[in-house]
Amino acid sequence: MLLRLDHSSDLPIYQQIRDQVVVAIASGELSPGERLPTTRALAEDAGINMMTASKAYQLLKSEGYITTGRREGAMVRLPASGAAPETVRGLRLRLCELRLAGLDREGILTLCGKLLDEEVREK
Amino acid sequence: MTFGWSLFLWATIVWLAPIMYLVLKNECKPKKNIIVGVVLPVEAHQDPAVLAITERFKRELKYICWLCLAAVVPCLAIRSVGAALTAWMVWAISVGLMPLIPYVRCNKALRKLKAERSWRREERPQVVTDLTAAAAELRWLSPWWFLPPLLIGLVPLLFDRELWWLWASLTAMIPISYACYRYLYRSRAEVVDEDSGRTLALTRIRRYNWGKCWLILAWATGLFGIGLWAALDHPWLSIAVISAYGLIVCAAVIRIEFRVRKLQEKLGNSQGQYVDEDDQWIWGFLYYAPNDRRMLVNDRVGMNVTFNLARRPAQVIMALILAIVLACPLFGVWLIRMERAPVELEMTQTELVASHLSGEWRVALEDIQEVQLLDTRPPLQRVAGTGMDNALTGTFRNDQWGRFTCCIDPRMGPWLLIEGKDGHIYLFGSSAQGEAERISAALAP
Repeated sequence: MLLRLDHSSDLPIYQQIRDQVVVAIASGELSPGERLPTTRALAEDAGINMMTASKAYQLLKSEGYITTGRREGAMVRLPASGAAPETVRGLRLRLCELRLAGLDREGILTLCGKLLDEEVREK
Repeated sequence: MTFGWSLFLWATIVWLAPIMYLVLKNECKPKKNIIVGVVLPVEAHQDPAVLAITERFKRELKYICWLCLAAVVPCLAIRSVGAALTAWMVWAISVGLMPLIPYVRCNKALRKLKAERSWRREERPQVVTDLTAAAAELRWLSPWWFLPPLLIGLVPLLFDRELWWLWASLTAMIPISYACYRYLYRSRAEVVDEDSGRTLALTRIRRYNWGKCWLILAWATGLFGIGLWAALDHPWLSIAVISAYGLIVCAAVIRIEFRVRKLQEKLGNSQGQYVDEDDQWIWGFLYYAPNDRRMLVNDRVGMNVTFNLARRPAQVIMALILAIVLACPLFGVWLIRMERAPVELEMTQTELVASHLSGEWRVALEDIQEVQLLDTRPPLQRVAGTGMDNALTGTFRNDQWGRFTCCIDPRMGPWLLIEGKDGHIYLFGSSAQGEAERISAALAP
């Protein structure tokens, strides 16, 4: 899986790592049980601070996308079924943004359906 | 300096011109989609416009190579050691820098073409990492491989205390080789595209050959130490050993570099979502990435490493290296001064002092056992020191006396042979006529 980090983006690097790993898990590019590099290896490879890599892993771990152990390092895992409270909160915020952008219920549902179809097709 | 020595001096370096030509010409072959420091899509590799630019680059390189080779011919006629060495160093620096002019021209032309044809891969500069490849554990060579050459290198140090500094420096090269192998290498995966298998294969190739280079250097240095120690009293054999060492190390490194490039060419070109990091490479070979916290990064092709010029320590180190390289010809100027400086011999109340420019050799008068005046110059073989037409200084040897300290002007006899109370032999002289006779008379009982 290729991680593409854009240093000129407003999105912090740890967030870019977290987002791309989540997308890769959802698309099947990263499968459950697959090993991820150690924070040191990731920092060395991407030329970023080890704290940044560590922060991305902590976020992924707290959201249930990866497990970390002393011996086996970081590993991909499938999050528990059902939407996590943080995801529901995030979704609610995005829905509010869409409503403020002028989309009605039908428009929002059409957009979500389209994105979901694309996601399933890619997988 | 005789014509033979001049020929030898230039033979040690003249091969640099064709090597530079071959290394830079090799950049025209796409490796990891990179041609002369520019990432291009596979379909552009045979594009007539690209081929025209690279052909012009190769032609310019060839002219520069021939120009450098032709410049050697008049230099062979230089008889002054200092002037010859100055020319030698200026030539070496020129050979390193001049081919970069057509390289930069070619790189700029390819970048312009890339922008015109919309071959640019990324809209914004990105750092790309292959998570699967970065997760793979690659094994390092065991330090035990470096132990035998270290032990071999220690042998001369144990038996020859007089030149301990020479053997210690050579032996120190072996742990330094291991440290360079282990700590100069950057553990960045060789990402070309989304194919992690390809990335891992290319990373393994680079790391394996990087280790091989340093291991060959360590073994060659260990064996060189032993060889030089055995040959030290035979000047021609010493020269042969030094030449063989240089030849073996250079040939091995060049061969390995070309082998890595060949494999990168074979495995590294991708039609997929290939990586384009051109924005971080000035002129295709200088890495400048302010957001990258690494000071050292892997070169784009081959197996070498390079500095990230956006980091302050890297800028300082590069400036120092450049200053040292550009100051090298000054050493030749200093040699010209040495050629003109006379050998002086002076007797004070307590000691006898022989000197040549900044070098001084002193013998306390009370330590002198015997003094002889030699009208004919004894046979001399240099062990360590200066050997010029006007001065022979340092440690020399011959079959009769073994090793001795020497500071003479070989053109101006007679010479003073001094035997110390500890058995050490000194051969002193002066460029001033009659000085040796005067001091000999003063030292006579």
